[in-house]
Amino acid sequence: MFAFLRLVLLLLIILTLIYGGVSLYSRERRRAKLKQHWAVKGLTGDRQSFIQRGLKQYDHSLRRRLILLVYILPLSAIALVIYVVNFS
Amino acid sequence: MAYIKWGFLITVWSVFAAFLHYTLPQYDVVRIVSTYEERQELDNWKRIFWSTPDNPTQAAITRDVQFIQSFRANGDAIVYRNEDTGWHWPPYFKFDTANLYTEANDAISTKDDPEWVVVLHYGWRSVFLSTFPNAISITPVSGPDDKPLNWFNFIFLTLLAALFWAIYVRWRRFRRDRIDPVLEDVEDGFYAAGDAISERRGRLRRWFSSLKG
Repeated sequence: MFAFLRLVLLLLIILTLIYGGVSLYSRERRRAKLKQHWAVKGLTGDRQSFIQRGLKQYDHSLRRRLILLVYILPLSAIALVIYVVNFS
Repeated sequence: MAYIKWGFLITVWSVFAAFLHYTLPQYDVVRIVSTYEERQELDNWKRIFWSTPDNPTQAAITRDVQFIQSFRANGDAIVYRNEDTGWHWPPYFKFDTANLYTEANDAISTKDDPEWVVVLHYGWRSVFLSTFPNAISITPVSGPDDKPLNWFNFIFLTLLAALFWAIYVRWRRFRRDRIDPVLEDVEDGFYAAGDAISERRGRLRRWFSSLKG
């Protein structure tokens, strides 16, 4: 049981670090893209609120939810290995 | 310096390759002859070649370990150990040691009427260190040449190589863009300082020689 807890704790820490890193990176990338879009199209008006609106849209997007795969993929891989090794 | 660099690189990569070779799964087509259980003394550094018991109170130095004796198609003997990996490294999550022992006993066959099975395993057999590969699963196959393709290793090693390549390319780009210019700046600074010093020295010398007249 001790080993199981250790594994879970280790996975939780590592995957959370990866999740946080990927989240920050992806959001900053979206921000850079919005800025670029603003510059290329030569938009006028409130640039700050344009970017804020774009980021709010991003927060509700599928792309951001897909980052949850950072947790889902390794855990399902472990479940698959457990099934294949012990039950098939 | 170049020797040290290459020696270091070769050592690191050899250790890494050995680690992968020990940990990744491999298939053997064998004929199982017998199984036995033997008490093992695990009181020295060779313990790393054996599994860790799941219960911390069981961290005893002696323990019963199951073994599976078998022959390869070419007549070489090979002995596997049969141990749980549990939640420990390597991540095979094997809990069905007792079941595997039963399957192994069921697959016992004679030389005259061989029954070939493929044993998925990891680890090394070393007669000097008395280490044994750990059997993970046993599957019947039609004949000694019926060895399954190790597609997991293909995919895993390809992905690993891609990952290393991606890191290497980014590191080189980072070096070219961020580190090399700084080093060049420093170098230029040194040269400029050196030029300035030699120029001043020249002036000093000229001044001296003018005094001597």
